[in-house]
Amino acid sequence: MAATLSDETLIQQALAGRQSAFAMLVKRYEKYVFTLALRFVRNREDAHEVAQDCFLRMFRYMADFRGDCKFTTWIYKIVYSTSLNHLRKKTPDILSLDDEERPIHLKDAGAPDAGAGLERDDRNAALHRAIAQLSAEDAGVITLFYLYEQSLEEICQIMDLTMTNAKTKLCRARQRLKTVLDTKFSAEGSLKFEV
Amino acid sequence: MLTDDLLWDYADGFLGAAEKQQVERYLQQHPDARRRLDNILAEKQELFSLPLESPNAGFANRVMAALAAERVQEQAKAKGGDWIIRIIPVVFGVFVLTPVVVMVLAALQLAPGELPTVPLPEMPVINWAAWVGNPILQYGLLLTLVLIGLRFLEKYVQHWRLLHAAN
Repeated sequence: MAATLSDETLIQQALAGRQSAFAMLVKRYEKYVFTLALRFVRNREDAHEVAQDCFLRMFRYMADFRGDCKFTTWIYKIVYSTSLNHLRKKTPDILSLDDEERPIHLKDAGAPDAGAGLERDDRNAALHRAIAQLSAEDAGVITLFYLYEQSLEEICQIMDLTMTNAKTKLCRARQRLKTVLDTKFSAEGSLKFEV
Repeated sequence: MLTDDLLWDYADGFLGAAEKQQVERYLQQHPDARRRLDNILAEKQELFSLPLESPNAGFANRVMAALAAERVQEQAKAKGGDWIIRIIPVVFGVFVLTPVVVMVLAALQLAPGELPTVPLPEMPVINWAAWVGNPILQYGLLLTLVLIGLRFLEKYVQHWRLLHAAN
């Protein structure tokens, strides 16, 4: 069945000019690409734009993918650089997604479903909202490591970091997530997060 | 005493063999640390199992349409879509400048390609009325205008095809 075709097979077929193969890749990874783009740009509309750009770039450069890393790592690297370019266009002086100076927003700034009461949210939604309130880079590192199961080495490849740097950022992102959850959500009895 | 950061590092698999053994020994002897680790593992599991965000319906179709539009543009470029732009100066040269050269040479009473003899004649008197009324020139101008019109038409058709592909 076509649905069980491996990424490698689909890539080969797409490179041979079969558009349906690329469409399957898009379908397979649209949620991953969109979620990561949303973590970085923190706005659904922009995330759609970035995700679409990512797939166009993927198609353009697919012939250059030599399998040196996992296909997913390659895709996430494209998402990271496309998001960074997008943010640079919107804010020309931005150099990286790391925004250590920015305080954590506790007023639902930029969070999806902002203002929705916790009583109708489940724990996942609360966690999503908490991650959305982190800086773009913190949210990206958390998503890549825990949700996408990328190793530290792969995160280094994706975000051009050193191992020490990546580990520090992950640790810091976890602590900030704890701060958000403790400050905002724990008081409402929704989530507790040990760090 | 194990810090939570160290427990997270243990849970994330960042510790070396020796450190890992130390932590495991400590966990065996301290049930409270074991409970903290269990909490961390549960929270890690929660992060692992977070559902992904979905893009709007029809996102994949829009990506494929954008890709198709991009390929149409690339193909148009590869086929030399700007051939009309390139041919305009050639036509202009052939149909507009050639009669001028011919007329100047005729005025000099020389055949085309023939070198002028010394002494040079006086400055020729060009009959501008005849020049403007020259049928070759008129056809040349008309053809140039037609080519420019075709260029606009081509752009319009290309634009329509892109819109059609995107929808």
